[in-house]
Amino acid sequence: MFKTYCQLPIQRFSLLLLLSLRVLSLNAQQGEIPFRYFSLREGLSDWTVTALQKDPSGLLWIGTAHGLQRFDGYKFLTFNTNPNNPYGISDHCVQATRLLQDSLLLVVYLRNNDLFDLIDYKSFKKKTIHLKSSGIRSNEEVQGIRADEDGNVLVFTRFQSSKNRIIALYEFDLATTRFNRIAQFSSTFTGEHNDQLFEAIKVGKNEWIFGNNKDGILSLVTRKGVVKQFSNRDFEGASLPAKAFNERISILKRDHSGQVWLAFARIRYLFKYNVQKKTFKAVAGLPEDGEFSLWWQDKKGNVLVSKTDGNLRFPISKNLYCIQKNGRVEDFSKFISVSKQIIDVYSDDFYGTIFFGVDTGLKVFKNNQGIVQRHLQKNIAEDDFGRIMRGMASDGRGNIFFANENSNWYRLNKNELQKGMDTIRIIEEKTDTVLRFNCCFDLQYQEPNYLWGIACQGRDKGLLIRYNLSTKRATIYRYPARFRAFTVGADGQFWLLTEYPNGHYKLLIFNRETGEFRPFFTAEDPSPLNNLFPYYITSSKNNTFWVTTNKGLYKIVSGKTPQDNHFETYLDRTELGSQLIYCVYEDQQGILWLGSSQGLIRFNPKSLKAKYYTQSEGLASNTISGILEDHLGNLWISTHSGISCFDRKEEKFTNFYNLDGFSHSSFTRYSFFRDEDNMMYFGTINGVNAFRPERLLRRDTVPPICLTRVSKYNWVEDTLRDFTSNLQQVHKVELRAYEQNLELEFTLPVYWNVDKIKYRYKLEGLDQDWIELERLNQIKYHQLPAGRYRLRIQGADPRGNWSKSLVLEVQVFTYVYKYWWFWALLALALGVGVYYALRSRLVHKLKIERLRTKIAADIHDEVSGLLAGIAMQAEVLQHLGTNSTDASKLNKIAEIARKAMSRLHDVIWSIDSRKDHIEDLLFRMQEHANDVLTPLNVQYQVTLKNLDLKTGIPVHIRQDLYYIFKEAINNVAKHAQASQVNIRLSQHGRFFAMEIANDGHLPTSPTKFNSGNGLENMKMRAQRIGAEIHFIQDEQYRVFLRMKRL
Amino acid sequence: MSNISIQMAQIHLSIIEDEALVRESLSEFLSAQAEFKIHSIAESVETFLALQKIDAPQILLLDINLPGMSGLEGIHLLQKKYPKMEIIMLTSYEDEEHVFEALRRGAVGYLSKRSSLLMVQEAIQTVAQGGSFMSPSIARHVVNFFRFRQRVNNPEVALTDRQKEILRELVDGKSYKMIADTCGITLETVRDHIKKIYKKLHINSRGELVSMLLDKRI
Repeated sequence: MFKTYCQLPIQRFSLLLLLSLRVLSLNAQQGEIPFRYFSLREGLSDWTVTALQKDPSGLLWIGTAHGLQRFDGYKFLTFNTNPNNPYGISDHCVQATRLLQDSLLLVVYLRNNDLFDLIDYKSFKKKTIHLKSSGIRSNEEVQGIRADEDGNVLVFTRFQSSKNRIIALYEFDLATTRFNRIAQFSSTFTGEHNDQLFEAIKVGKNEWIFGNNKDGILSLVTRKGVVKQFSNRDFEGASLPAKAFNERISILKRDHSGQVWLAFARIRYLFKYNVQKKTFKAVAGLPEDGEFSLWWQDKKGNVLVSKTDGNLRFPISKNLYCIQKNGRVEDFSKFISVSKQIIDVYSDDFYGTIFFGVDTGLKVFKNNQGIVQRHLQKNIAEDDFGRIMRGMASDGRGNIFFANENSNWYRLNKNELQKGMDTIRIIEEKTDTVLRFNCCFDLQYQEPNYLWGIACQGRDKGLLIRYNLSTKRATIYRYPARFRAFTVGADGQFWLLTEYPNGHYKLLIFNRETGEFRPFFTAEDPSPLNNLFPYYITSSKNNTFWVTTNKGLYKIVSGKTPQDNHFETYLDRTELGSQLIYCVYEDQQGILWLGSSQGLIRFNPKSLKAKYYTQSEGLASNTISGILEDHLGNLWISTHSGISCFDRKEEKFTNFYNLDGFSHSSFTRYSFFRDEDNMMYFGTINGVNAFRPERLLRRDTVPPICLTRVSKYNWVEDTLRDFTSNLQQVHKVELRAYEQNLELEFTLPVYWNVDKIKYRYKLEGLDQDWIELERLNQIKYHQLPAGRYRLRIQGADPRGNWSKSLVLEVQVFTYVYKYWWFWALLALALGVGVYYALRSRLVHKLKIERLRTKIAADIHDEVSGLLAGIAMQAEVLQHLGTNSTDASKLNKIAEIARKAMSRLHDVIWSIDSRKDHIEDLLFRMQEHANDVLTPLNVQYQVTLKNLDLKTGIPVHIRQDLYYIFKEAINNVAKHAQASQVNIRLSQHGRFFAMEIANDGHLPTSPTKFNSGNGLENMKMRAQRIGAEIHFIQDEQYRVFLRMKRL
Repeated sequence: MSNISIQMAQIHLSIIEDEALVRESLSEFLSAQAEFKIHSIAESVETFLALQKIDAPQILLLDINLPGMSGLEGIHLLQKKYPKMEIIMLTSYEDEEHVFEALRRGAVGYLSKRSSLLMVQEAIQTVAQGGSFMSPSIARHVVNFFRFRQRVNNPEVALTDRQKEILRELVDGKSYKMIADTCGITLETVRDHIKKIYKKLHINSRGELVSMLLDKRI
């Protein structure tokens, strides 16, 4: 589908960022535990991480010596004192951060006891608490600000009052943002600038423990004062020396369950406080030879303590111990190998992801404590190989054997794990010399006590090694070609895939009893594998074998005689085609699982149907090394980059990498094995890994996906607006018509393996399916069509588990003229406007016409009756009178009256709006001609041409045309003495023409003829209506008028 | 002629005319003629209908523009009261709408007020003898109706050649007698033809006529 907008999921910058993270991250080069490392190069504002805190949306807040940063796994948002930075804090060196009431970050600064900040983690709004204006008296010197895990903030001050030196303890009330004084004590301080003289913690609703090592006092205080001063008798489980109270308190912490933990510098114990008994008890299970000065807790109730050395502000950790909620202590000292200078630790679960703030940056671990056992792992550089592991075998008695591709074999006794691996040197029995070999790909254990292996020496020497585990001596069967893989047939014979130096391949059968190699062939083909590069062979039921090659899968049937042998290809019969297949696993249902270079293929050899599973479906990598079924029914697919556990029923992959505790992410072929105890073994290019699948599959909760940036481009103002705050509440994004581009950044806050986090999204209303973003945490839209959409974004953790959707309603507006309905409305409005204008004009016209008609009717009614009366009266007198002179005059009067009536009729007709058509004009003309010419016996004929009688004609034109006509006819009647009048009315082209022609004579006296106003009147009227008029005398006398078309 | 008229039964005439001068002139002139007897004179249809006369007039000269009910509107009532009374319109309206409407409603003659009294006299006589009368200008309307507007395709309303001829003669202002002579037919036949022409005019209602005109069926 062609889309008019652009989705730009891959941007150069982001690609660079990803690449840089990839290069800089990962492998522990000095230690065995893989971790992610973030430092200045990744954007950390200082080498030293001093404080760590996660906010409720899962984002990490990092305090450094140069500001506070919010880290989403990809980018750092830096809060500092730069006045131009929209994200501001009050000082630069962060000492501690705590989350208060799940909404406010308390930020305390090093060497600044005047203030602290409260920052809303959503809106980034900062409220600075100045201690001296919040209840701390001005004459008091603040000695320290302490905040516990529950958000209780304590401040202790010192001051002099009438020669007494006083220490006061204050508690901060978040509701009023003011300090309330709890208690005050006398002290002997002399002005030392050392905030480590005092320590305090809240232990109950109205109880605090206050430590004063300057005066050697540890006391329990209430608002009324000291209620108890602790002595060494109050400490159980350890003999506390009296000097302890003069030592700096290194740990005084309260965990989420309210337990208070205490330790003194240079004192070897860690104590827990019993609120009821008001005594301390030494924590059991910890080594007795160390002092403890660092303490952290996770959200599960586990506590992590650091055994340290020396009374230092940032002590060097020597050991780490995890004290579980049930009191069990587990050694976490392996983390010390990463950094001894641990300053702060944050973790939701010490058995999950742990963040270490150290002197050189931030280190993130995925703690798979003991889940994956790594063996034979070397410390290697990222671009280096370690011990490349291949074949594996077990003797069924607790011994697991491993082959290193290029040197030795190894034995692991599961019952003596602590002893580690035995190295097996292959000493040839015949020569009693150590055998040197390479390309040792596979091992097989065969009773009685023989370990078989294939190897080679150069390109042309294959070695089949039979190692006697009892005598520790080996018998070598040599063959002039290399062996690539082998398996054991039902009859106990070895079937070997063999590569000849000339590049040809054969399948050999080795008879263990005779020690002879013979080639496999069929009746049709003397060398069936000749041109194929075979990778793997495994035996199946009924003397059949599956062979995978660089060109597909083959089935071999071993008959009783060579003539019964078969070699079947699937090359052209199935969707498999000539796929490169590295390995095959046949499950109990007879389904073949093929490991190819294009993913995992489920192949049914009966139906010949194949289904592919690739990275798109969640596979760790498409290049597969091995397939192994565990006792739970899962398939484990080892690949070149990670290992996947495939749930066949759910068709779901769960992926693991080196950061999950594996020795390397690149797994090798022929190197997978499940022992009799269902332990799984997988070899990599650097060592072997053993694990119990049920332990590794312990499912992590996938955190919700979190929006980190919304950006809109205003093309009118040419400005880009970034939104980073309050995004937790954003459920709707609106794009105005002037906002063309929308960019969204988000994160799945899983920090331990950011590279393997995947994202996908779907814009409902536009996209039918999910769109994979792979590792990019960004979506860009350009010129989205106007409308309402619903955007769903999901992230998958490194294991491949998808999070719930982040749902955003997206509404895109456009300019009103871009909506079809706008134009429809406009057209409608215009239509209505025109209609009303025309209607109003029409109404006006009709009004005038009605008026005209009324005037006409009124004149007619009022005047014609009178004129008729005059005419009739005259006639009556004429007829009934006796005087003939009078009679003639009376006749004249009657005539005049009738003439007046006639003229009146003309006038009335000319203004009568009902007579506004050509036919009315014509009728009137005819009437007049009839009235005037018929009494004179003058014949007249009317000829019409191209005239539409229904055509309307304006009143003034109608009037003038009629009067011209009337004048012309009257002239004929009066002067022409004609016998025939021809009247022609026509329209031709753009013109209308009227001609009145008669056959009469010229007037005898032109002067007389012209004396009346007749001709002049006609000219004047013609001129008035824009017509030309001609009076022509040729054979006839013609009045010719021409004007524009009616 | 007058002697013969005297011997003849007098024609009882009524006049409805609002214009006093016309009313008086007509009354004066017509009552002076022996063949006419003025039955009654009224200013309006209402006044006329209110007159307590037992005997019906033969002929009524009826104006159109009257106070109250118009002459056209009154035709129906007048004919209802005096079924045998023939109505001649005498009016200053000469347009075809008035003419046709009057004829449609049952007037047998239509005279313009521009007509001479003698023509009025002739018209009354013609009608009294059972004919119809058209003044030339009215006849022209009829001609136009049939010819000028080229309505030729409807045989029901189309005029026969004879009727056309009579109409032409009428338009030319000839009397019925002259027409009878010219066409070589009897006076009765002329009257009959004119009646038929009239019938063709008001064969249908006025509304239908208008619609016929509009859709050019005629």
